[in-house]
Amino acid sequence: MTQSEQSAAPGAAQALLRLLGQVDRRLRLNQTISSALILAGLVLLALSAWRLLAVFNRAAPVASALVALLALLAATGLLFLLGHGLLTHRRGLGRAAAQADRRAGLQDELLSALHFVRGPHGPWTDAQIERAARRAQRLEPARLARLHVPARVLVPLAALAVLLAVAWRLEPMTASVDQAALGAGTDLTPEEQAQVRALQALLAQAPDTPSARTLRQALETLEQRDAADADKRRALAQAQEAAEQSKLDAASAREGMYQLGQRLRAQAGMEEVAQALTQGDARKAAELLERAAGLPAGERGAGAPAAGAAQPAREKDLEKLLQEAAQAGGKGDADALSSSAAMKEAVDRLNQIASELEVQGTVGNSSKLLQQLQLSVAQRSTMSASRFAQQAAQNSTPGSESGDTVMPGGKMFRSGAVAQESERSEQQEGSKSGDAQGESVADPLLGAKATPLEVQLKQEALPQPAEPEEKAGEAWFYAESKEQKSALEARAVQARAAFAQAETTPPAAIAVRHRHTVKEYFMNLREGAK
Amino acid sequence: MSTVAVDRQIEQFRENFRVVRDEVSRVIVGNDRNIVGIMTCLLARGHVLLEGIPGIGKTKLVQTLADVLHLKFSRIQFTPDLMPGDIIGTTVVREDEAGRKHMQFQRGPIFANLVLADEINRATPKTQSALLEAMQENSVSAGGQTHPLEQPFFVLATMNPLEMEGTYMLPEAQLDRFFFKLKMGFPPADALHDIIERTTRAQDPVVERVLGQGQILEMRDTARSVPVARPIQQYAIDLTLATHPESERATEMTRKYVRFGSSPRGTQALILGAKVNALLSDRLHVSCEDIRSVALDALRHRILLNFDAEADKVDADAILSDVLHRVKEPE
Repeated sequence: MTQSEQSAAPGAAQALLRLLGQVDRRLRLNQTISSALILAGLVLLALSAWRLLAVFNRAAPVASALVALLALLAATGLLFLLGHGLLTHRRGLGRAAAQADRRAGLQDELLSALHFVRGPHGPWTDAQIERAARRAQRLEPARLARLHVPARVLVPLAALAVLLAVAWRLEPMTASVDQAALGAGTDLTPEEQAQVRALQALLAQAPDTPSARTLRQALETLEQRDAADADKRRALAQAQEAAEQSKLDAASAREGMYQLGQRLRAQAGMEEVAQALTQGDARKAAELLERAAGLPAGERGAGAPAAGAAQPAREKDLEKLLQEAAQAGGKGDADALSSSAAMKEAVDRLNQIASELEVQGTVGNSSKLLQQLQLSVAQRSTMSASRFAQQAAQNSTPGSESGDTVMPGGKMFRSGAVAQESERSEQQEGSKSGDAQGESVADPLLGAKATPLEVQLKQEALPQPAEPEEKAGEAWFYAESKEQKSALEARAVQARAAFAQAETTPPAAIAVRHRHTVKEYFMNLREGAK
Repeated sequence: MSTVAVDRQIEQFRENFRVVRDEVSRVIVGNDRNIVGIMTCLLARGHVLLEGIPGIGKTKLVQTLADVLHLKFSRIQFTPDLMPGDIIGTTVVREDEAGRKHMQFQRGPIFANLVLADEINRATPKTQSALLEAMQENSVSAGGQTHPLEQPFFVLATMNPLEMEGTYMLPEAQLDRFFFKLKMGFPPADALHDIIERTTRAQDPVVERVLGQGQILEMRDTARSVPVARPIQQYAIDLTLATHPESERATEMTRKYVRFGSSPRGTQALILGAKVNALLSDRLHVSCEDIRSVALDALRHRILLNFDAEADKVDADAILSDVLHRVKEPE
């Protein structure tokens, strides 16, 4: 208390200041309680968050992240409340006087009196102080400043207490759910494990071809517990592609045999072989050829080479061998040795084709199983609906048997594909399955062989040869106008934007304006393959 | 002066005020707020601008007040051909008994305690400014001489918001000279009954003169003696500053609709009006509530609105209500 406070109306001023001091102490106590409760709230929040994170653990990453985020937000809110209370809380008798005036409905009487006590005095101010002091003596500090906790502190605190109680009762989630939710390594169900084992049994009988190797790797990836879903999906996609490729190879081989059979039909002594070839039965054709040549039966098994050893035989034309064998069959003993060698080589080649077809059939049969696995893995993962639909959709490659192509929009029949050709081609001889015979590049929708859209667009952007009219004016020097320059710059910007958009567009959703370009690109590729 | 004397003075003030109000209420019905407003201006040494549609009793109210107060009353009907000399007076040539001629100042109607300037906006600006100058200076200059006006000098100007054709709106600087601008609204149905009963009888109600010149001057001194605490003064200043669009205390509505805010005279009017209000509430101190109760009357004519306010039909009262709502009381 200052000297001036004591000098004027001392008794009244004392009474007034005593009351205001008591009110001020209670207000400070209220503020301290609020701060302590906010700190307690922070502790409760930390405990609740810790408990909830322990409950969710790795089983529900989204829920865990949500808990962490909400805890962070709530902590920020509580800290804001704490800081706001500490920073805006004004201490002193002035605030106590204002508070007491408000609570008692005194219309600034105590506040004014406090200022009059501290300021210069006169009869009017002394009278006012005395009045205020008389009123102050009738007031109870406990009623003016009740000890209470504000609702803005009490409500969050109660909510946090309830949350902690609930969180404490929750049981931690199980490990299996844990892994499935995390997506780090999704365990296969017993049915899926059976499918994988069946596939492995199929592949154990097949020779070591690239398709078979890809499939084996995919199955190994599927069996790995720590492999991520994304890796499994990628491995399955590659395996699916290998299976499709295998189908294409088989179709190509059958088509080749059919054509060969057609051409050999006219050869004397080769009618049965030609018929077997036309039917696509390489094994039977080899047996017939063996029988016609009178080769010992023991050589037939030896004549079936492994896929690796058969590689040089591919270089020779089977048709030529068969024609040589047929011609030698009609000649004398002098040529018997050479005809026997040619016949033997032809039989070996046919046996090799038959083995390859069997392997390809085995791998091709695994396609459905792979597709089922793909579906189940994709359904468990957090893949987007569009991406899932894209992966689950059938590959848009021509079927090995019919040459028809099942596409998302429907089915493209072989006859339709043939009708689209502008020029006659070798493959047009009754089918468009030349593409399906492996002469074209792998399907671009999935797999490593797909050419990125970026490259396709660059190829599309290759400069066209100059027009004859332009050549005539080559001697002229043209300076681009500002308009041309700005137009070119604008086009460059537009092209970049379009390119960026095309880059970000998923493969299955090629932008409408690029579809024609992509189609043209593939058509050109096929033309080039001829 | 002892505390007891102060209390007695306050009691006397309230009693005088009550007597005047009761006496005026015998004639004027349903206008208690305006009666209090006019009396507040009289006791705060200010002048009043009364605005209202024709026929709602503006002139009657002032005439009744003049009858109740034992003061010299004059009425000036403002017309376009009214000249300044018609208000303040003129110098005339007089001949004394000896036959000598000399110039003599003939006092105009402004030399009264209570001046009713009826329809002030019908006179030309030149005539208006003659009155407004006298209001500000409390004296009249004519013929090279200054003639002080007798106290209390209290001007009640009336203004009709309709029939604006052929009128001269008071400039903002001259509006600022008025302590309060009171709006007289249409009386409610109950009040209309009383008005008809009182004014259609054979005899009009008669009022008595209850307050003399000395008592009024004493009441004026009493009103000025009420102390104001610094935080309350700060609240009045905050309110004034909140009406200035360029001030950092300005509200959003002020920034949008106000061209110029209230002058310091506005703050003075707030404090003085609040002092009278505090005395009427038997308090020795001014509260924020006192300031709020007089804020509209004290500030509404001191705020200059911009075109947006005209376009959006926002008036000064709406802006002031927003300011009163947003400016925080001292803590």
